[in-house]
Amino acid sequence: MKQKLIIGLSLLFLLVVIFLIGRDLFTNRENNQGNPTEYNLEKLRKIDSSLICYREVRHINPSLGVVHALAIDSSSNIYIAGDNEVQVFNKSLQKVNTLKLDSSANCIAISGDILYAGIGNHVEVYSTKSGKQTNWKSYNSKGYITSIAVNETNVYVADAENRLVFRYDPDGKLITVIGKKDKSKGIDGFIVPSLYFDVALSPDNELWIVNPGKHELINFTENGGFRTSWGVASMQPNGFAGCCNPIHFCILPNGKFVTSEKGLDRIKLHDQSGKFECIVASLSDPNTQALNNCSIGARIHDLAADSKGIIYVLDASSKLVRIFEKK
Amino acid sequence: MKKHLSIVLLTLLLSVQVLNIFAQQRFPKPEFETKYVQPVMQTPSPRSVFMEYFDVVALIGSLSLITWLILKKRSRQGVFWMTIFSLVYFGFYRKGCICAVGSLQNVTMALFYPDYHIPITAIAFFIIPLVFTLFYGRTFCAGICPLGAIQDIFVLRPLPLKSWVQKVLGLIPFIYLGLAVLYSATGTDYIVCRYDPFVGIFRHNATFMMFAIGGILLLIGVFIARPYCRFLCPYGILLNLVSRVSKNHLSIAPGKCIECRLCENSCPFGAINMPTPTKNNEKRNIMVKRFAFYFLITPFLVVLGGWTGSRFHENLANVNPKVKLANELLISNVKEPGKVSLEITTFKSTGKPIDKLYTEAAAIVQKFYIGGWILGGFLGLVFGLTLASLSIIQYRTDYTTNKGSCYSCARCVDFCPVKAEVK
Amino acid sequence: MEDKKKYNRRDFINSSFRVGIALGLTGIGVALTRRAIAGKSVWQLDPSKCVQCGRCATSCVLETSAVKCTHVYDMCGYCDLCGGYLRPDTKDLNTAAENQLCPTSAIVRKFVEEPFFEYQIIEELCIGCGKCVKGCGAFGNGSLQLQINHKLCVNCNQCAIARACPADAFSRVSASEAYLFKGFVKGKK
Repeated sequence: MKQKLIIGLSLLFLLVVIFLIGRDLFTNRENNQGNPTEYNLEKLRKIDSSLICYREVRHINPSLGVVHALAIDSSSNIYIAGDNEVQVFNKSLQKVNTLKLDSSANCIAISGDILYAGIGNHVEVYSTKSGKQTNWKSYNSKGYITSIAVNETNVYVADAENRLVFRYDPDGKLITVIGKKDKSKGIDGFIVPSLYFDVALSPDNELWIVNPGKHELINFTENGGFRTSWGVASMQPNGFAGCCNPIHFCILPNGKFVTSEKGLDRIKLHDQSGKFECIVASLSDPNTQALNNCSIGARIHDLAADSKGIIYVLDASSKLVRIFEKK
Repeated sequence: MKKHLSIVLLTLLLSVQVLNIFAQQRFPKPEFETKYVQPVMQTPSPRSVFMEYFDVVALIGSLSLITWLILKKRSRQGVFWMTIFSLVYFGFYRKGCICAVGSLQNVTMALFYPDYHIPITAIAFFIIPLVFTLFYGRTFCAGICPLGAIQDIFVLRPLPLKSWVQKVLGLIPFIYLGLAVLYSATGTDYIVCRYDPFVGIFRHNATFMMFAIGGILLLIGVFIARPYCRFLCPYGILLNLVSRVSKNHLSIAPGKCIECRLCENSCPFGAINMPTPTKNNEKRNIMVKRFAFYFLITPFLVVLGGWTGSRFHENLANVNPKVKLANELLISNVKEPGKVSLEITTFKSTGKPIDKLYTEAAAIVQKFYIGGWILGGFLGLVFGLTLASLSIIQYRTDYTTNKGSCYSCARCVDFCPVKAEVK
Repeated sequence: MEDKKKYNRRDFINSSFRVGIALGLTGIGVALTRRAIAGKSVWQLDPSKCVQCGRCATSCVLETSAVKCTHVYDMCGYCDLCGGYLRPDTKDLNTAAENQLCPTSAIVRKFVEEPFFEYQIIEELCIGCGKCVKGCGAFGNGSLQLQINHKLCVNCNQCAIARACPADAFSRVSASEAYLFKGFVKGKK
């Protein structure tokens, strides 16, 4: 009798085992579990809509495979660099020209009909009318040009690999090296942890350079003397978040700053003294993985502004140039 | 699954391409002034290939040794020590992977997916035990299979099972085998590995459920000897069929059986054929008629089984992750887009067109429709043949091992008083 | 006489089956060996597909996952404000536990020189959740990457994390190239 009971119970257990396996195979409860260690970036990216002071009015689709850089000339023509070319759109967003480059440009700047393109460790000069002009000699063999700013007399070139900004004359003669580390003069040098290092000129020709590792923008004299700086590290809209931000900036005709950040993916407006004013745009789209893919070397969120203060944003993940106007 | 398991070379090729693209990108390394030395990136190498081949050598060596111990030495003690060896080596040292039981899925997958590159070791682990069984009976089960070995240790108070119970439960491995083949042939999953009850014990590491299942099976195994081997193991089916026609096999008596009945209760697995009692001697024509009846209804059972199996093909297919994702997407499109699963969010972020997924999922479901017919038909056939085989009574006068279900563990040998004939 | 004949018939059937099975096994063996790979393959995850869903930490058959965060030092910016080490809302930049993003405090921050810090993963503490990987990927260079540690991986026939991975990031790779880092190639900076 006892033996029968044991056999019966054992067989019952055996059937329980088979039932458990079958249930586990044919039902899927594991998917309903949340992630106990989730790092919710979306929550951080959420932006109070009352802070947004610009709105997207239009966009340009250059239909390029990869987009890298953006520039605007004095007559509001829009230059978009991507693949191995630069496409030119006029004020009414009609494509008017395509310049072929020798290879892919990381950054571009335009002065009159001369286009400066940062390609690898050197600058190449193109004429918008007659094509390739010349290659400038690179500073040294390593180098990685991430930004160019031009006015009538100077060409400023930011090199993320060397962590230096070079001042050239329009013929490519090196005049000054800005930001060289020099303990004796108390110059710490730029801290550039990733390949984002931007330089821009204000309407009254003041030179501004980002020090991304310190989350600040620095104003230099044209000979590289320190003048002033602003910027704080913060997740809040008033500061710059992450390891190295802002990644790009431009200066509006009224002297206000527009900055773009990776990580939290936001574009902000700061006044002439660097005080946070409002949010221009937040491109973070929860349905794209753009951030993750772009964090390595891609040129994301390049900025430019025209003479009327309209802001142009290069959205590298959707390969568009988005145009923002004040609300 | 196809998407996971196959295309090793393709993956390699692709990754090389991706790396080449990224190789152009550089990172501005800080220029340290102190003599800072960057730590070395930690990338420990996997177990060497040589050791994988050594496993095959160990398998052949231990199989030869145990076969010699069983058939020539007729030594239960020897088998016991081999059990301990394989428990330690194939079980705890090799952590139960790769095993012959699981390898049948790799083989199935390789047969259905020409682009799946099966490891040589998996082929070896699948074929070698079958070859040994073909010549010498299931000596692999006796003490080389780590799953069998761990259960064999727990055969402490085996109780005899009614033969009809054994027959009915003996149908479960066919279902398990059918499902295992179906899921590996459709590139879905390796369910035998997923529900391997003892691998967690070998690794000292498993989910609570798998530990519980392993524990329960070992506990049952105290009274019902080797429950996994007898009532679940899908590879055992293949070994059983091959062993039935094996060239040599362990015999209880080394010489002529003297029908002393000493071995009658010695087998914990109910694998001893008893002499047929004379009162059961039915008339031959009744037996033949019954056999013919069952044999004739078998085709109907096959069709019925196939039809039933095909009815359930959508349930079967839902185990496939791609099909599951497609179903979830369909449902989420109908319902309000509130809480979406991680799979859906991730899928959407890849930017893959949804129609392509639906087409792929539909193709898989179609495979399951055919698979459902085949699985059901196979089970119908097994059921019919089992019924038919029950109707045949073989007349025996001696105590012999049931060549199909005998694990050649040599327990019965010690009970036999007959001495080996001196030639 | 009849007995003898019957025995022979059964024997003949058995032999035929035996030969049939032997031929079948040889056939399967030869057919499969042709398309088999010599050598060994192991599981690895492709960081460029990874979405840091946290399932690596929970789905591995091992209690503490064989997937670990690996630091590709060549890509690291050695930042003070590290997106992979610090919680986003941290006020002070220090190593206090409440500032650390890692749920198990498995990252060690070490001062190198102004303003650089080195970050090292303590493998024993890392659970492979990918939280730091997400932070580093979003705010930093993406030098923290999830990889299967082959010292720990038991190389299951079917990887349980591969089954659970929503991004389809797992595949078998050759054992000689057992790691797949993104954005970086050994020897080529």
